[in-house]
Amino acid sequence: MRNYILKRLLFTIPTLLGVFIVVYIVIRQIPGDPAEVMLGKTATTAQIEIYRTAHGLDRPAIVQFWLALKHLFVGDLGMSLSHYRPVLEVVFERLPSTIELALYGIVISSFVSIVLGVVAATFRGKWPDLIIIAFSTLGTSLPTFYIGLWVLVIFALKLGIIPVLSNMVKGTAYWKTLFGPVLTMVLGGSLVRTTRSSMLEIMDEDFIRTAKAKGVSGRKILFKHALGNALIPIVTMVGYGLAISFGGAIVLETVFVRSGVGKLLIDAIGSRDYPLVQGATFIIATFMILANLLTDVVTGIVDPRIRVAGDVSF
Amino acid sequence: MRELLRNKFIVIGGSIILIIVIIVVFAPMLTKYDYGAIDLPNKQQAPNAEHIMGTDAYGRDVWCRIVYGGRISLTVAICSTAIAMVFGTLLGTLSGYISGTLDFVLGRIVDVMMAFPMLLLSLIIGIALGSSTRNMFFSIGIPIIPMFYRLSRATTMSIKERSFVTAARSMGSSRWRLILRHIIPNVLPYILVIMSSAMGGAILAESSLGFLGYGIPLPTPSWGLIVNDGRSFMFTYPWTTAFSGAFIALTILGFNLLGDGLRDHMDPKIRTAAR
Amino acid sequence: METLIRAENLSKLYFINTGKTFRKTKFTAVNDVSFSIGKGEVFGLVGESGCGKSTLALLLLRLANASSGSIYYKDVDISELSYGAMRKYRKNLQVVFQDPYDSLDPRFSLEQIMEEPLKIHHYRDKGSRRDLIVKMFSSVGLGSELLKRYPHQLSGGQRQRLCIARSLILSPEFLVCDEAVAALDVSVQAQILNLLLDLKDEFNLTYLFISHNLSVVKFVSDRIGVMYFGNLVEMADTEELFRNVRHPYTAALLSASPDPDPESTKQREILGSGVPSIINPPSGCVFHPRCKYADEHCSREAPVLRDIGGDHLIACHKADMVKDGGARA
Repeated sequence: MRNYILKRLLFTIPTLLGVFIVVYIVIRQIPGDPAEVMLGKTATTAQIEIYRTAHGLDRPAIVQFWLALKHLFVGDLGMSLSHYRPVLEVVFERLPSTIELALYGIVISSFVSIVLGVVAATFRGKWPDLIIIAFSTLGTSLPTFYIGLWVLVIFALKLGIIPVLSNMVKGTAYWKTLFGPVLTMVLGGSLVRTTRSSMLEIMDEDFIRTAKAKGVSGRKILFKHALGNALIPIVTMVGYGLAISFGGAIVLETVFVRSGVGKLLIDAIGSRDYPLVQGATFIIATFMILANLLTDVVTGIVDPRIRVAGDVSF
Repeated sequence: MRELLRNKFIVIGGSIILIIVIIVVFAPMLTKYDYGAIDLPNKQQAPNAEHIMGTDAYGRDVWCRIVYGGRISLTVAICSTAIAMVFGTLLGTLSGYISGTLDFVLGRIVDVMMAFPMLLLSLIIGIALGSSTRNMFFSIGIPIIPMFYRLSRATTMSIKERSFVTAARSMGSSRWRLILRHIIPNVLPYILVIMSSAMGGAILAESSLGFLGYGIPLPTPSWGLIVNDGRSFMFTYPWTTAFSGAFIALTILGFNLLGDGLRDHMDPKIRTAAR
Repeated sequence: METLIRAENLSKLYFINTGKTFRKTKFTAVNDVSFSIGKGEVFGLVGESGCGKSTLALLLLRLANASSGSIYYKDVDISELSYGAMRKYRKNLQVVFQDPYDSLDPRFSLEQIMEEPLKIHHYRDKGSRRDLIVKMFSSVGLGSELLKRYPHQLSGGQRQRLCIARSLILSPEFLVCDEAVAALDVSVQAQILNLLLDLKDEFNLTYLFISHNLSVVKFVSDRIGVMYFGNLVEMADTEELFRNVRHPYTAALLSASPDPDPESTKQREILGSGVPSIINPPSGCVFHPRCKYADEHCSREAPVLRDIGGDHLIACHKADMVKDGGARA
C-alpha cells in the first residue's frame, strides 16, 4: 500500500510540471510583449526593465522557462494587475470559499444521490425507481448554470429565502450563502444512477443470492452486503466528483456571485489580469490533481484488490 | 438494427436529436423573422401568437434566434467532437499498439489535460488562440481528446492481443495495414458509442462558455450567447433564458440518452473507460 | 534430411510487475532451447499449458522477439531481421492458432479473409486470386458458396478449416499448428487432424505440431520434443520415445494419457505439488520438486540436454533410473 501511494505521489510531480507548462505556454500566446502582458498597460519603463531582467526575457526561451519555474518554486506567481497584490495572496484569500463550496456540495449531493440511488435500486422497475431515474437523467443533462439560474429565480426572487448576491450582503446567515450552489449541485445529482446501477450489479451476484437463500433479512442484505460492496465504485465517483466540482465552482460562483477562486479567475480573464489567470488556473488544477490522488488512495484502502493487483506486463 | 430500436433510451434519445436536427436544418421554413432584426418597440414580449417564444431585450424573435443559434451550436459540437475523435482515436490507437515510450509520453500529456477541469481548459485554450468560431472548435474539442484517447487505447490493447491480429502479422502485414484494416475498424464501434456523449459534452461546453461571456464572438447567435443575452434580465424577463436553456438541456438529454442506450447495447467494459 | 528450420539457444524472458514499486521480476518463458526440424518432417511439441511451447512457436515465427539465441530458416539467420525485412519470409512460415473464433477478424467476410494474404503479397489480379481461393477451399473441404459469409456464421470446425486454408494459400513450406484442434469437439478434432495430414502430402509441408495432448501428438508426429517449464527436457523419434521413455516428466505425461484398452491395468503416476511458481523458479533441475527420483544433486545443478544414442536427447541426471522403474504406457 505504501508503495502504491508513493508511486501515485511520484506521478503527480510530472503532471504538476505539465500543468505549469500548459499555463505558461498559454500566457505566452497572448499577443504583445510578455512584460507588458504581465505588468499591464500602466507599467512604467523602469518596471518593465526590471521584469525583463528578472524573467530573462532577452535570453533564450529555455532560460526564460527555467526562471519562471524558479519563481514558481519560491511561490512567486507575480503581481495581480487588478488587485495590486501578489497573485498567490489573492488566490489563497479566495480559496477557503471554494473549498467550502466543493466539500459541502459534494458531501450533501452525494448523500442525497446515494439515498435516492438505493431507493431506486430497491424498487427496481417500479414507479419510485422510474421517477428517480427520470429526474436524475434530466438533472445530469441540465447545464449547471441553467439549474443555478432557476434556483436563484425561485428561492431568491419568488420565495425570498436566500439573497440574490449570496455572500455580498453583510450579515446573511452562513447556510444561506451556501444554499443556492449546494442545491444546484444536488439537483445536478450525477451519482444517483451510478449508485443504482452498482447496487443492482451487486444484488445480482452470487453471494447476495447465497445470503438470501440462507434467510438473511432483506434489510441486512441491502445495507450490509449490497451497499457495503457497492460503496467502492461510489467512493470513487464521489472523489472524482470532488475533483470536478473545483471546475464546477467556476460556473456556480459566477451564477451565485460568490467570491471564490472560480469567480476570481473569470473576472481575471475579463480584466486581462494574466498573472492572476495563470496563478488561479495553476491552483485549481493542483487541487484537482490532489483530489484525484486522494480518491485513488482512498479507493486503494477501501478495495483490497487494487492494492495487491500487480499488472502482469506481457 | 431492429435490436437497436428495441432499446428505449436509443429510441427516445435518437428521436430528440432527430427532431432538433430537422428544426435546425429547416430553420428558414419555420421562422418568419430575421434573427438579427432589432425591433425595440416590441422588446421583451412574453410568448404570444406573433412571437411564440417572445422577444429579447432588442425585440428580436427568440424562437428565430434559437433555431438559427442551433445551427451554430450544433456545428461547433460536430466539429469539436470530430477534432477530439480524430486526434484522440489516432493517438490512443498508436499509444495502445506501439506502447513503450510513446505510450508513456502521451499518457502523461493526457494526465496533464485531465488535471484541468474541462471548462477551464477550454477557457485557457480560448485565451491562447483568440476568439473566433474556428478556434472555438479547438478550445472545446481539445479537452474532449482524453475521453477518446483512453477508450481507444484500452480497446486497442485488448484487440492487439487477439489471434487475428497475430495471424495478420504472420501473413506479413505491414504495421499500417494492421492498424488501418484490423485495429481501427474494431475500435471504431466503441468510439461511435462515446461520440454521442461527447457531442452532449460539447453542447454543454459551448453554452457554458457563452454563459460566462467567452463564447462565439458577436453577432452570430449561438445557444450560449442567447443564454448570456437573457441572463442580465433573468429576474425581470426570464423567457429568453428559459427557452434557450431548455433547448440546450433537451439536446444534451437527447445525446446522453442515445449514448447511454448505445453503451448498454455494447460491451460493458466501455463503461469504465468512458468515465 | 535437409534442415528447414533451426533454433539455437533460444530464450525468452518476460518482466513481471509483482507490486514492488520499481522492481520487476524476471520470468523465463523459454530457456535455452535448441532443436531443428527437417524438411517434410512433422515435429510434435508437448507439454502442459503454460510451459512455453506457444511462446516458442511465436519466437520461431518472429511473432515475438527472442531475448537471446538465433533462428535459422534454410541457413538464413532470421532472428535479427527487421519487421520489414522479415515480411518477405513470412509467406513461407505460417501458423494456425488454437482458437478459431479469435483468429478471424469478425468484420471480414470469408472472401476478404482469404484475399488478405494474397493482397499483402501483391497478387494483383482479382480473377486469379479468386481461382486460388476456390481451389484452396476445395482442398480444405469448404464450399465456395461460403465466400460471402462472415466467420460468426460458421461452425468451429469450418472456422478452423478456414484458418488452415488462409495459412496455406501463400503455399508456405512450414506450418505451425499451435493447439490447432484443442478448441474443437473430439469428433471434429479427428477430421481436422486427418485433413492436416492429407494437406501435408498435397502441399509438401513441414509441421511444427504443438499440443498438450500426447495422443494427438503421437498420432501426427515423426519426432517429438517434450517441454517443461520453458525447457526442452526430452526429444526423440516418436517410436523411440514411446518405446524408451527416459525423462520422468515424459513418463508421467505418458501415464496420464487415456488408454483405449479397457483391460489395461497400467499404474497411473500422479504428479505432486503443481506447476512451480514463475516468480520463484526452483533451483537446479526445474522438475526436481515434482520428481520422485530427485535427490540433492538435482536441486543443485540443472541437467543439460545430452544424446543418449539414437538421436534420443534428454535433460535429466536420473535417466537411467527411469529406464528401470519408469512407468510404461
